[in-house]
Amino acid sequence: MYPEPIENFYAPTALSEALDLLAKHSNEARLIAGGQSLVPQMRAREVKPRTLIDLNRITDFTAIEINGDRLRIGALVRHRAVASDASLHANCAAFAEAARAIGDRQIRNRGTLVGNIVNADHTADMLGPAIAFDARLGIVGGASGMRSAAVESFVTGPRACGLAADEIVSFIDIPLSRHRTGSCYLKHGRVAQDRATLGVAARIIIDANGGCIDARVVVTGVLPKPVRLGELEAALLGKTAGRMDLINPSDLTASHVATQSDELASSAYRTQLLRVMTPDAIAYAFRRAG
Amino acid sequence: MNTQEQTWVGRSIRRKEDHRLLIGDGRYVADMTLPRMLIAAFVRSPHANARIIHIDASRALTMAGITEVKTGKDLEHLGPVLSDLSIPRLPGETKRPVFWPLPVNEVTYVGDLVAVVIGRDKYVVEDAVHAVAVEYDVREAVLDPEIALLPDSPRVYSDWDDNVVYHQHFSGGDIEQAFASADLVVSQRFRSARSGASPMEPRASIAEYSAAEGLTVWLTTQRSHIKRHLLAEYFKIPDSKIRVIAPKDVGGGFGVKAPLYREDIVLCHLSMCLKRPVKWVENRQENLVNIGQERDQIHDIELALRKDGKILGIRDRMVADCGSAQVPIYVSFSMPWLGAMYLTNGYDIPNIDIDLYCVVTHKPGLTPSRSFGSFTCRFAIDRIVDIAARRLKIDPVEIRRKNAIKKYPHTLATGVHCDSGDFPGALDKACHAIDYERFRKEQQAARGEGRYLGIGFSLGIEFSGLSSQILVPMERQPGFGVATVRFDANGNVQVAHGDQPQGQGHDTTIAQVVADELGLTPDDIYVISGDTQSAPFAAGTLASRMGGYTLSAAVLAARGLRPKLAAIAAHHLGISAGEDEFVFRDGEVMLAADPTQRVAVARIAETAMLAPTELPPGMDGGLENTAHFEADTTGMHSTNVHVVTVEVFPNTGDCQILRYIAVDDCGRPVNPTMVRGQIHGGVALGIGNACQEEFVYDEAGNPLVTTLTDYLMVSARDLPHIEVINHDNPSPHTPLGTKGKGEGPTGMVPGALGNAIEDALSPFGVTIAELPMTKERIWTLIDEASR
Amino acid sequence: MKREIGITINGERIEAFVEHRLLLVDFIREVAGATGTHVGCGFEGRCGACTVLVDGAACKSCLMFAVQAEGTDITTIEGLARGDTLHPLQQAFTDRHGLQCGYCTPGFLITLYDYLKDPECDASAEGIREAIGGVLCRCTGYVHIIEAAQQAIEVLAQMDGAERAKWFPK
Repeated sequence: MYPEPIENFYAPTALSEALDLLAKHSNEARLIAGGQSLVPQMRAREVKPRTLIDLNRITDFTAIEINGDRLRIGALVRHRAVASDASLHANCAAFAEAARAIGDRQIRNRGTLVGNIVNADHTADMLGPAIAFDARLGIVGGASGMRSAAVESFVTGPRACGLAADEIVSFIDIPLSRHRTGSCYLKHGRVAQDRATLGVAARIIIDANGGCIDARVVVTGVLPKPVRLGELEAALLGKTAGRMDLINPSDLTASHVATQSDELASSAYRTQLLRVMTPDAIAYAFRRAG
Repeated sequence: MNTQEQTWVGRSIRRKEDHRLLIGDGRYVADMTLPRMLIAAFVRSPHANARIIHIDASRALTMAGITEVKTGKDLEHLGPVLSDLSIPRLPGETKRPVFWPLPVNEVTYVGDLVAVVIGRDKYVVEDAVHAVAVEYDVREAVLDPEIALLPDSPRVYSDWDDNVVYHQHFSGGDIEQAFASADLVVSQRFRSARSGASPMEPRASIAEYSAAEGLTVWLTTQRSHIKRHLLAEYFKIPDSKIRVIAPKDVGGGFGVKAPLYREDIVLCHLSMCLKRPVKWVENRQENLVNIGQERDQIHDIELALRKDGKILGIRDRMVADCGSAQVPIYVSFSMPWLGAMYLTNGYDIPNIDIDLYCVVTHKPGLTPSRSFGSFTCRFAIDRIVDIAARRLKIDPVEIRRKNAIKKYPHTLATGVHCDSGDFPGALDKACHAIDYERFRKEQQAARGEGRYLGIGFSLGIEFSGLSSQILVPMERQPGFGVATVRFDANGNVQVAHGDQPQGQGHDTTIAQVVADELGLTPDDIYVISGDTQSAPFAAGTLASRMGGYTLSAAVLAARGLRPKLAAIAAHHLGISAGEDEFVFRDGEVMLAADPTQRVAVARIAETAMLAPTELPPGMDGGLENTAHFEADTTGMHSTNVHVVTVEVFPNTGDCQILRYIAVDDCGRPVNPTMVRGQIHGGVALGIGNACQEEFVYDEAGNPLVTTLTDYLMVSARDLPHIEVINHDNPSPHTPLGTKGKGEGPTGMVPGALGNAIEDALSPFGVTIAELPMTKERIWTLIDEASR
Repeated sequence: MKREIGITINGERIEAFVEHRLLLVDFIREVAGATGTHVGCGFEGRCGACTVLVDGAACKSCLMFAVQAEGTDITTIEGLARGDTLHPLQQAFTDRHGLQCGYCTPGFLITLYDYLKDPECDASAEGIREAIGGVLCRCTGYVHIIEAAQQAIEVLAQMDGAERAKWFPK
């Protein structure tokens, strides 16, 4: 299956050039980075851009760097780099786990972390870790010229996000805590390599005594967008890894997440996965923090 | 008769096919381009049941390079596709769906053909396909085969008095007596969703026509001669004016590339009209919604047993959803029919009563897939035996020992003949390999820790080709194997045969057997198949026929040349000696009694081919022989036992296969590594179909599975290591004792796995009766049982 | 709608005037004529038969446009052998019967090339299964493919650095 004709194709080498092109073609243009979701959508003729702007030649986008209390990942950093980066492993293992859970070796060689988030599929593996870490996107272009947006509010629905037609996401910032932090991403698919029937990302920050001072637990694979388990997060405050028995996460999850039935799973099965995976994700995160 | 110390047969030599494929030099139909070639693509129906009101191609025809848009009306004059030649002639009641190469008035499933677009560039041709506007009158679709059987159901074919395309009642022995004398009757309903083989290479064809040469068609097919014959009949031109070529490289078949398809007919017609080559390459979406779907059966089984576990009889009401059945040759009911014939399989069940209903619905017609018609039957029979064993508190191995076929020859109650085998020995090997008793102890210990391990066995027979006694009534096609062995003037040997491969490695195995017969090496031999202009007539590649039939024909064809080779050698040596006094070794024909008396095969060939004046007086020139092999039995089979252990995680329904062991009978393996490759692949397909692959339809008949991201074809990450243990029982009916291998391993899987999963979950009391056994299905069963 | 591009395929620069929408796999197969790279899915990018090395990284050429590959260096199955000598990976595939119909073989060879070029790659069956999860095979059940990969890892491990480097240029 082949896409519709593409009238214009540009491969700018500088961000400013990309922004100019976008301003000129914004209503009919799509940006392409990894393209591992966009090209199939174009080939299925679900998406029919008249203009394609390829970001792959913009070199400013390719770094993973620690910047004070943030870890910054450029918009062209591929999943493969995320999966194998040492500083990511040390500081935010959930991202590395999510990167390894995406597609396959070839897809990971090409697809990008930022692209996975901007594509905003409700099953996207990177959304859970990004929201669990309260990551923020650096966005350029548009009226403001430059702005920052929390992933949590940026994603508005399945395949929908708050990126304006004349904006480009240039990086994602992951805040790093001074305290010990543990995180985990668990994914369940129908088979080894699949979209997420359900994904659970957890990030736990503990103090010197091992007590939880901040917790985030995010569920993906549910509609219309990822859900934070707020009451569970609140209940985890002050708890230690050793005193997990004080809370019963499974009581806290099912009633707060409306799981849907779709081609991947029934609502009942998703709810069951939620009950099973949430405590596991939290336990792993605690273990890694400690 | 080969006297070499080491024969080529039995050695795992590297395949002759490999080199070209490893350097990217294979040649598949999609790789070919011909001068002036046009590209075809099909407009397909978005509705399961609709009348075509109007087709407007005007916009499509304005696009660059688009030359034609043809509809069913344009091709109606060609007539309906099915004829006496292309419909099975089985005992029982058969109806004939009337359909054309392109539907004239109505479409019968989502994905059905509507029109064909022809142009120069495949991208633009696809644009044009999207630009064809079709107006439909959409009607309610008939989708559930059991509802379709109800008297007041709407009809798929309005001129039929019901929706049954084929009905047959099989009976054998005395079923009433069997059930009357039973201590226990167990009954269970089994069913499977649609799944199948889906080879990695989709279909492709190129048709070219010239007034002088006639029609030449390159096809991704398993059976070029049969297709040529059917095309000739359809177009009312002589066979000699059609040449069908299956190229050396076809990317997997597994039965899916056995039928003649309507698209093939359309392509041929277009090339004849346009006098230009026309090419069509199926895309994966077309592939998944049209072909490769099988397994769709419901079985209501009752099994009568004595309390010692001896099975007395079986009843089955079998309903097969055949879809619209618009598939020439098989008409979608050949598979369930053969499945029913083999229902009791490796179990000795003398009394049977099987009522088979093959039903049409508004889905794509069933197409053959490895384990032809038997996959769901095998699941049902291996499962019902375990269910009975549990009720009788008999060990699943013991009940199999008691009921497996033991005496040969044996005839199934449906009439299928079994020549040889050894189930008790295979069961012993399986139990030993898995360390059965130790596993049972581990299983007990694991239960104590809240872990759920299980073990499952299956046993069954694999046909080694189908004899003419079965193939003639089934498809009016011969079961014989055929090969021509022909020397070149330099002493090399060409073997032409009738079973073109789709990856099985026939070039290699044929070369091995012929090398032994003639004292040559496989490098001296090259193999030709697939082209009707150079390969001898045969039914093509199906039913694991190579090992039993075609290899045997090659052996006999080569063997038949030995007297002439010996006579020429004797003449050259100036001695008088018969064939039995010579040995054929190292490229020479030599006297056994005095190996210094020898003549190179190359010299003999050179004499026969180029210098007939130097032949013994009265001998004709040339060095070539053709043999047809038909076994002196109506059915050759191998006997196999598989055992699998699993751990099931009740919280999620995840099932991990711990070990998978296939105890396998290949008669006499020609190339043991290649035999293992066949078993690995067969088992992998079986695991995929049994656990995760499923074609799903919604209530309107829309396919919900149209991509490989939803048709969950089994990947390396989903599979365990597959262990193979040889338990070879040479066939008494083939010259080398060889048996076929390929079709069988797949059908062994669902029963073994289903038994293992149910065994693991026995504390929950669940019954595994539906395929595929997905994680969610397993969890749902546990959840329901726990309430 | 069209532009002139140049892509180096197995060392040979191929220039052509192509539509923007032309997929890289069609450039490789139909413009460059390197038909050893195959197509097994429609648009979903799941089967992996089209896998090629784009500037050294294994990518699915059905999920890229040819215009995106302008100026890149691409290696396909046709580019693995050195003259008449098969790459150790190719040799292992024939030694261990790692292929049957051959349709998926380009995907496995290129993906495993990408995996094996790291001398520290995990030689366990588990590691190899993970690495080849993006290529589907319907014939082999993957068992002999995994054995072939392990043989190649072993053979390469016995080579000295220079000899090994010959099989993984750049």
